Amino acid sequence: MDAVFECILLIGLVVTAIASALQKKLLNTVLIYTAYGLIMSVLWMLLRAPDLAITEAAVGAGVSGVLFFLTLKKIHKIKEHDSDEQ
Amino acid sequence: MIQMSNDRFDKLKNWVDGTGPEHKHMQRSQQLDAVHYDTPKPEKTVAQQKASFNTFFKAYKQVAAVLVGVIAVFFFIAIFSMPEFGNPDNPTNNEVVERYVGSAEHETGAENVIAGMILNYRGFDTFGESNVLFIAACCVMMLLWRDKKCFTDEDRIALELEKRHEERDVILSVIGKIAIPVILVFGICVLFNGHVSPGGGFSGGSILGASLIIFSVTYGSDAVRRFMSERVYNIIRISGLCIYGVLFFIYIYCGANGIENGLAQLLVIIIDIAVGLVVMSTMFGFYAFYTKGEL
Repeated sequence: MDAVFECILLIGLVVTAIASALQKKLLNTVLIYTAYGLIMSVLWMLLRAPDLAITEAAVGAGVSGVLFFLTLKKIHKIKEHDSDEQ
Repeated sequence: MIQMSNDRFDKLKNWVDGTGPEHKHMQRSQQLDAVHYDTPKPEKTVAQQKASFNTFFKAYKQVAAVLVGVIAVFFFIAIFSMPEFGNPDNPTNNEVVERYVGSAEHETGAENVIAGMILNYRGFDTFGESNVLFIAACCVMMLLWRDKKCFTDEDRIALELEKRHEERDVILSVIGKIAIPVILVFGICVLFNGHVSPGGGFSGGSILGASLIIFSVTYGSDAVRRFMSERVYNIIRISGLCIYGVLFFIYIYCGANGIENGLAQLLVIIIDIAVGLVVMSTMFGFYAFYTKGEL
């Protein structure tokens, strides 16, 4: 059962890694990258490294995603629903 | 005398302007060069340019694919030549690991061997990492800090407009109110229990930083400024690094192994908290300077 779960996670890791590189929209890239970080943190847990798992969940899936979103907003790659048009 | 100086002046003037007798050959060569360069090149049509771009991008993709393939082959060779995971006969399982696992609890007072390892045996390493985080935060401050002394009136108006347009998302604020205390308590728990359970400075600090980011998003930057002004922020950053540096170097100066178990445990706890403070302020500083250019 554990091995099956691990295999699913590893396949998910490869799929998210390739998918995040092939996206046309940068927003989708960042979203898939955070999913990659989440899968990675569960994998660290399965590899019996709980210290790394906590750090990866906080940094890889949380803070780095936020920083990427902020950068995309700074370079105007995310369109805000602006109130100016209405 | 005056005549001579006039001559000299003329010479100097000619030399500066490049019109003296020694510059004649240069002028000639320049003219030749000009003639050479001015001959009109056959201009490319739009279609030709497009075709050349297309060939470039096709070649780019192919070359990139080939390079990725080559690197992947090397990686796979490396992976398949690695020893089996968890095998007791692996070369990594040597006397260093035996020493760490066997006597970390006795020597450092940390039940979590990893905390004892990174904060005591490899304390210099972790000190360097904290310095890297500190300097990264300093660089972000240098690049993105909006100094209000240098504002023009237009900047002020733009800032006002930005503040007026700032509206809170309802879902975010409701969920934030429920989630922030839980995340904060969990972060503090991870940070303070780093010596007995998984966690410690880096994970606890990043969780605390994330909770501060969520707090800033839900309640606005003014609410954060109430307890963390620029001064407090700088004090937290610098004191974290200083506590670590001073304590660890006193520990090394004392011989690094001769202190009592309880004192060593206290040292690990305090250094853990110092690392947590540095990581937390770095995470929150990144967010604050990315969004507003100030705390």
